[in-house]
Parts: sequence; structure tokens; C-alpha cells
Amino acid sequence: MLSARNKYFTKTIRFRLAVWNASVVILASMGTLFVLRESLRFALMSELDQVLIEDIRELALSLDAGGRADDPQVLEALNRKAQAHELHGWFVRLSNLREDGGTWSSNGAPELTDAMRLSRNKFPISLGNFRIVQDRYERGGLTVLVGSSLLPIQQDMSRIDGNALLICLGLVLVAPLCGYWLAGRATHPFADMIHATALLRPAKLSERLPVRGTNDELDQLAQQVNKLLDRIALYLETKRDFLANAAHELRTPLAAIRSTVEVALNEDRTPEEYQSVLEGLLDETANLANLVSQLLLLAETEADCLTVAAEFVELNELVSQSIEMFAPVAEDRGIQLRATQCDSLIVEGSRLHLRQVIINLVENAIKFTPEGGLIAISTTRQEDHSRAVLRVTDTGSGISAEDLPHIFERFFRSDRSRPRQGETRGTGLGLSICESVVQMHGGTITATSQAGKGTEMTVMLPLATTDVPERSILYGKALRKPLPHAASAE
Amino acid sequence: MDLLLVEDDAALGKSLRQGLEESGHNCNWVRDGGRGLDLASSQRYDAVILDLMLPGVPGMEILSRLRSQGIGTPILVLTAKGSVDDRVAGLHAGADDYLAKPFAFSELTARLQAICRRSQIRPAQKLESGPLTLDLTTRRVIRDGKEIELTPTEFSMLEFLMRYSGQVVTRKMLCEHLWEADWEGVTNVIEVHINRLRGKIDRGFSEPLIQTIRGRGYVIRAK
Repeated sequence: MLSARNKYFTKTIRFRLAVWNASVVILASMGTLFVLRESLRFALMSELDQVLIEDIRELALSLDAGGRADDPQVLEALNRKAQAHELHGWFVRLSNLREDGGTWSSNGAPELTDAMRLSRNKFPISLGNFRIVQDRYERGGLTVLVGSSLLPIQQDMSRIDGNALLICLGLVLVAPLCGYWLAGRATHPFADMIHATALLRPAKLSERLPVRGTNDELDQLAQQVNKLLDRIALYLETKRDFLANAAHELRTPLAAIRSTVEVALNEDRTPEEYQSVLEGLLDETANLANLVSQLLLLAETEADCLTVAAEFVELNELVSQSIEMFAPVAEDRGIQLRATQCDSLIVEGSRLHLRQVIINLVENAIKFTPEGGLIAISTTRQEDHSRAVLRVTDTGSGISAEDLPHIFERFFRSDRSRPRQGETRGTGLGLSICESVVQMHGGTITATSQAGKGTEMTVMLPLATTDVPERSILYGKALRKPLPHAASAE
Repeated sequence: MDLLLVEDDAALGKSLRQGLEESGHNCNWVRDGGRGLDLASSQRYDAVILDLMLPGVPGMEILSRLRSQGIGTPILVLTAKGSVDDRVAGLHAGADDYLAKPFAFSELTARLQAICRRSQIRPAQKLESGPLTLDLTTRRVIRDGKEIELTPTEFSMLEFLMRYSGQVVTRKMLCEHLWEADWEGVTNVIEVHINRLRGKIDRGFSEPLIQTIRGRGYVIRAK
């Protein structure tokens, strides 16, 4: 566990969040400190400059008043001022005092050889460890230079730098740790979720992810995952039921076959008797084969999208084919079977499957309609022209209100759907297949019924979006086009 | 006919061989794909009956290898997978016909004859079965010199029965022929259609031509 963690440690969200967090904090703090330090330095320097400029102005005024600056009293006063000045290392230098170009400096003034050359009038510059300002007078060539040591500022700055460095060091150490801790707090629900998800098993789908009620993204994710689990659980449940039902349904004909054979073998029989038994067995296997192919058809249509290429299908063609197919049967039973309204409708999908839907509906109608009844098939366009509506209406025995909600369930057979003489019992899959096919085509199927009066089955299918003109020869032919996934039509 | 049967299921293989031999064919039965491929490519057969799921070389590969070797023996594919896609794949790989399990034995023999005939002679313009003649070009049906009126469905059904004259035709085969669907409904649709046809063909004649074989299907048979 630990080694696995170490291996992927640098890939975890927690680690990455911590690194990003620390980098941002460190960079931002360093930037701020740097800006602060520079501003401070700038402030100190400009204060110093201000003082120096003030001083040089004052000096200019006092010197100008006398015109000459070699008054020992003036110089003495300057010396005193240099000692008493609030700025450490303040000094004054006067050049070209007299015509001979002599120089006087206050006590403690440093040698600054290039000063005269470098500086402009009343513009402070840094020279070595000093800040100087000088002023040249037009008259008499007197140059006044005021300067001050930069040492105090440098000392202040290095103290500040030292502190800033300490702060940075602290940040470098603390930021990743804090970031890691914070990221841990933020990603903790992930870990919970991963743990809970790892515990999920197909056999134990009642487990759900914890929802903390904070309604943040993670909660939303957990809720979505839970919804998905609900759907999967429901799906698996129906699948399990279906499988159990299918096995059960297969068992009955198998039992019939087995017992028939066993009874036949119990004693010696005449060839005619054997023949009869074997023919009975053939019928039973035909039933089994029918059930299996219906199950396969159901599985095929349930697979959400058609694997066969879709084509444009003219519904009326299918209806007339089905009527042709069943007309003799209906006639034999004294039932009228007819198409009452035939709008020209093209839908897109699988021709075979759609025809199976119509066949199943008509077959059901015939099964439950007594002699003298009427079965009407109509194909109409919905008022807003978006859907094709196929109706199969019969005047049969109808479906009771308690059965009606279940008719699309697999293997559901109404108690009254007993086979007539000479007919095999239905598989109970016919309407399930209808529903599955219709849903695969993005449509709906509904039933309304009144017991004793009749049933109306309504299939709605989206009309094909096609530019094929109404009377095209391509009608009902295979214009191959991939079928859109029916999944969108949930 | 000399037939090669490649089928790994013992029970099915045994019964098929017995059935084919009893219908007068020579049947060579192998249960392994590789062996089947060897035989089919080295010996001459009238037709090959090939299962798709085989040990050794799978059926689809046998199909494509035989066809790429230029061997044109008619091949009838048997398989448990019966979806449209599977059929299309099989036919693309070079099968002549496709039969999904479970199938009626009579359907197997009928299809075998059909694929052999297809590779040999052109379809006849006129089908005859004892006193009954069916003209495919004029679409007229005549029995004993008397013309019989049939609906298109009935005509198509009779044509199918007469093509397989003397052989049992199952309800499923008829359904597939008439409505291109391998659907065998719960209601007796085919029976009713057959009864109508029978009423037109056999009514008023002493000898019934269309006979029902219980549990199997129908046959048109003239003495």
C-alpha cells in the first residue's frame, strides 16, 4: 500500500496542489518583499536627497549674501554644522574659494576626485558610499558641494534584507507544508470516494457513495455516481429477472420433450405411435426455436443501436404487406382487417424490425378479436408533422385495467390469452419486442384499452428527415444511411 | 452428391451424416477445421456444409482461404449466430448460402440442391409438377388444361413449392420466401395461405397435389 503510494505520490492531486500552492505563495511573497524593499530604499534616498538639496539652497543663500566664501567665521559655522548635522557623515566642500582656485572642506569630508566632473547642478548622485549634490555659481567660479554618507541607509537596507531573507526561508519551509496540509483537506473527500468506490461490487450494488451535504463539486460528482449506480442496479435487476424468466420459459418445453421421450421409451410401440411421438417432438422444438429467436431478437434490439445499416422505410408498405399476410387468417375467423387511413410516411430504421412490430400488433389483435370484429390499421402524420403515428385498433376482448400497465413486460401473459384450438401459446415477448424496437427507433408505444370493447395500440415514430420527394421511386428502398444512436431518445 | 460436412458437434454431425446418406448422398464428415480445409482444398465435392465455430481453423477462415485458392465449390454455412450482420459477413467471405441453427433437415437439403443448381443450370422458364404447369414468364398456372387464377402471394408460394417439387418445404422457408422474414408466427398464417392455395389447385381434382407433412411442412408431389 505504502509503496504504491510512494510510486504515484508525485502524480497525486494532493501533491500537485501542494506544489502549486507553495510556488504561488513563495513567488507572491518574494515579489511583495522585493517591491517593499525597493520602495523603502527609494523613500530613504529621496528623503536624503531632499535634505541635501535644502542644505545646498540654504548655503547658496548665505554665501550669496557675502559674495565671498572665505570668511573664516562662515567656514567655522559650516564645520560646526557638519558635526551637529542630523545626518551622519554630512559634509560641505567649497572649491575656487578665491581666484587662485583653493578648496575648503568641512571636517571629515572624504576625497572625491571625480565629483566636479560627474555631477550636474543641484542633481543628487551617488558616488562611492556618498550621496552628493553640488552647485556652481556663475560669479567667481565658486562651486559648493554638499554630501552625506550612504552608510546609514545601507545599514538599514541590509537589516531589512536580512529580515526579508528570514521571512523567505520561513515561507519556503512553511508554504509547502501548509499547502500539503490544505490540499490534503481539500482532497480528503476524494480519498473517501475512491475507498467507497473500490468497495462496490456487482453483487452488492446497494452501497452508495457518501454525500456530505456541502453541495460542492465533489458532492455533485458523488450524487451523479449514485444516480448511475441506481440505474445500473435497476438494469441488472431487470436483467436477472429476465434471465430467470427466460430459463423458466425454456424449461417448460424442455420438460415436455423429455417426458414425451421417456413415456415413448417406457414400452414397445408401433411405428405409427413412434411417428406420432416424434412429430409431436418436432412441434415442441419448433416452439423452443421460436422462443430462442425471439429472445435473440430482443437482445439485438436492446443493444441500443442498430448494427445493420438503417434505411428509409415507407410505413404503408409494411402495413399493406402485413395486411396481405393476415387477410386470409382474419377472413377465416370472420374478422374484418383493413387499413383505414394511409398517409405517406417515411421513417428511418430497420425495415425488418419495424415490420416485426406491425406483425406482432396485428397478430395480437387477431388473437383477441372475436368473430364479427374489426381490426383497423391507420398511419397518420402527427399534427405538428414531427412524427408518424401508427394505430392498430381492434374490437376485441380488451385488456383489463390491472393488466394494462404490465403488457410490455417480458413474459407477461394475460390470464385470458389462452391459445385457441390448434394454436400454440404465445411467448409473452411480442409486445416487449415491439417496445424495444420502437424505442430503438426513438419512438414510443402506448396502449389504451377498455375491457370488452377493444384495444388501441399507438406507435409514434420520428419521421425521417429526408429530401426524398413524396413519390420517389426510392420509397421503401434501401437508401443506406447510418442510423443515429437511439440512446438519445431515452 | 458428394458432400463434405465440417461440424464439430457430435450429435448434430452424426444425425446430419445419417440423414444425408439416407437421402442418397455421399457424406464425408470431419470435426476439425484444419482437416476440413485440407479435404475441401484437395478433393472434389459437389458441396461443402461448413459450421462456423470450429476447433482448429475457424469456419470464416476456411471460407476465405478456399475462395482465395480459387476453389468454387458451393458452400453452405451453418451457424448458431443468425443475425443479419453475421449473414452478411458469411456471404461476403464467399459462402453461397447461410442456415441458422436450429434448422429443419428438409431446409438443409433444399438449400443444398439450390446452391448446386445455381452453380450449374439457369432457372427454368416453366415449372412442371405432374398435371400442373406454372409459366414464369406469362405468370399463368394451368392444371389439366384448365387455367387457375392465383393472387400474387399464392403464385409466389406455388412457384416456391414447385421449385422444390418432391421435397418438404418448411413454414419458415415459405415465410422467408414470401415476406423475406425468418418469422414463424404464433398464428397459423402460412397454413391459412396454403389452404387457400390448396383450395384453388386441388379442389375438383381427385388427386391432391399439395400435402401437409405434420411437424415439418408442405410438399408438392405428383404420382
